[in-house]
Amino acid sequence: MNIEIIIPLLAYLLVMLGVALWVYSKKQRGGFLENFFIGNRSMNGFVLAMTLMATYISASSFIGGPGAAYKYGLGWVLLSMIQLPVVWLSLGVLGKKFSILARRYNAVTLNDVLYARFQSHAIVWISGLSLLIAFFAAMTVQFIGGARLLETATGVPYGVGLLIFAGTVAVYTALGGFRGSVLNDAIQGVVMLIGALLLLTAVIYAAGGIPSAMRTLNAIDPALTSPYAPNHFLSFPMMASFWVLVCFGVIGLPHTAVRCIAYQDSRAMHRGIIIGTIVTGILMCTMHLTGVLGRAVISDLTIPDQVVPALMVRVLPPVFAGIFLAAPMAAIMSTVNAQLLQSAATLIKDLFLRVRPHASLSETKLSVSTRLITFVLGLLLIVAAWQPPDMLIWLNLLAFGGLQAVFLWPLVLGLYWERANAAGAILSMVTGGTCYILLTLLKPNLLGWHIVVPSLTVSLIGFLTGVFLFREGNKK
Amino acid sequence: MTDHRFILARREALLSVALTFAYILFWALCAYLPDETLPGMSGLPLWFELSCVLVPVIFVVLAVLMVRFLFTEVSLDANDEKTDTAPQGKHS
Repeated sequence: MNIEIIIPLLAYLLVMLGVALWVYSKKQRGGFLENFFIGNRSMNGFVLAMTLMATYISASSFIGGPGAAYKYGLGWVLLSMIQLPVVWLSLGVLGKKFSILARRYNAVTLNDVLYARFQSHAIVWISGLSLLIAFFAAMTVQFIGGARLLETATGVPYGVGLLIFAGTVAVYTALGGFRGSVLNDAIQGVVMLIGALLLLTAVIYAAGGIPSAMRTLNAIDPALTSPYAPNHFLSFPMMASFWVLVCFGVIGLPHTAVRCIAYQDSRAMHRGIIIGTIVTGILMCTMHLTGVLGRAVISDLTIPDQVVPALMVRVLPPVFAGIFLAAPMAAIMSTVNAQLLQSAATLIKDLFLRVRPHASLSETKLSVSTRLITFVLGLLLIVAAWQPPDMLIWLNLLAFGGLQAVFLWPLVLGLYWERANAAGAILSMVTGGTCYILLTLLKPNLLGWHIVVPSLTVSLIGFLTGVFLFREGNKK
Repeated sequence: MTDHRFILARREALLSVALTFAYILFWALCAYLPDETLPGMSGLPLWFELSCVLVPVIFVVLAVLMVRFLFTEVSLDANDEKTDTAPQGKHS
């Protein structure tokens, strides 16, 4: 075990807990649910940008992404830059309308908005359950990433790392709620940014400059410096699928969408778009480029996912390595806390309180049980993450795409299409989700297209069918 | 449901989508048009410098301009339709 790396890392985790405790101890205006799940809609532009970015950028951008870049070369950086529009697209499209409606309905979760728009309990149940399942998968992958990171960089055994790391996230999310999470996200966003820039600089230095690194890469395989990657892996259908999966589809991710109802005012949204886009651009480019150039420094990794931690240990002095190990940890924690909170919100607000509306009478009881559920969910994840699989990014994208197939159309069409109705939304969610699961299991040959593309198409067709079959109910 | 803020919101949503499509176009042109072996200024290939550095920088600037000049500040409160910059709307 490497003490010099572990100490700054533990200090960092303690800071996260400290922030949550501070938020917990502060007295807050408004009801418990409003505060715990969306921080009473008080985010300013900077925090909004950071939390959107941090929620969106997960283990896949810090571990899996650079790992794939290591394997496929500069073409993967090109692919990662597809994500540049994510912030302006999700804030811009959901935008002010979503925010105004959420305030009008006093909505705390995505399901509240969907219920208010479509007036259907079925929708809440479908969306709630698919959200819980997908988040569970996604969070497990994130925890695995975190624990593996600790294992590679510090030599802490996988199980111990998992306990320390996942325990911290569970505790600080349960204590701090939304406000604690987004504050931690903001800190983590800054850490990620600094960490990514410094690591890239150190890697370029260790590779003997960019031209030298390019010569090394060309010597390994000239395809590493082409936009197509070795064996033409990054084909047109592949790239086009990613435009859907990591750019347009992101509008439909519930944990990013909920951040679009929690900002203070339109000025916060405007500043959020600007800051968020800049930070996302810088992080995507630097982290993935680091993965590519890393191959010129360490060319013999068998598990590509280990490239970032391995580089940290190799090119940074130990104490710095500890501090910057915090960056990918931050990426993971900030994603998990958002999803954990959303899962708890779904369980309590959308499912439990909808079945038993009178249970909300006591605020104290509500507060204790919500925090307890958040914490227990965290523990369940640790159990699930005990046996880890190999290629992280694909598993994560699996959960990611499933959510999009379920939520994208009901959200977007619900907002902007007056004739959208409950039947359409239900059909869209069911067909999209089913299609996604079936394609995942059957693995048919889709000529290189990612399964999210047919799933979203089916889901759209489902929506239109529902709207046109049951149009009477929607006439004015 | 013709809150004028919703008309604004729809326009802003369309603008965001349009900017995204413009980004895809330039990203693709710069990535796949240049000869892939041409070196750029920094030692990285030219296609990479154009599509992963230059185009993103340009579109960050465009996003800033879009938000500054085409997006309108409005109140988000539930029953408040008034803004400083836009004319008042009425519920239908």
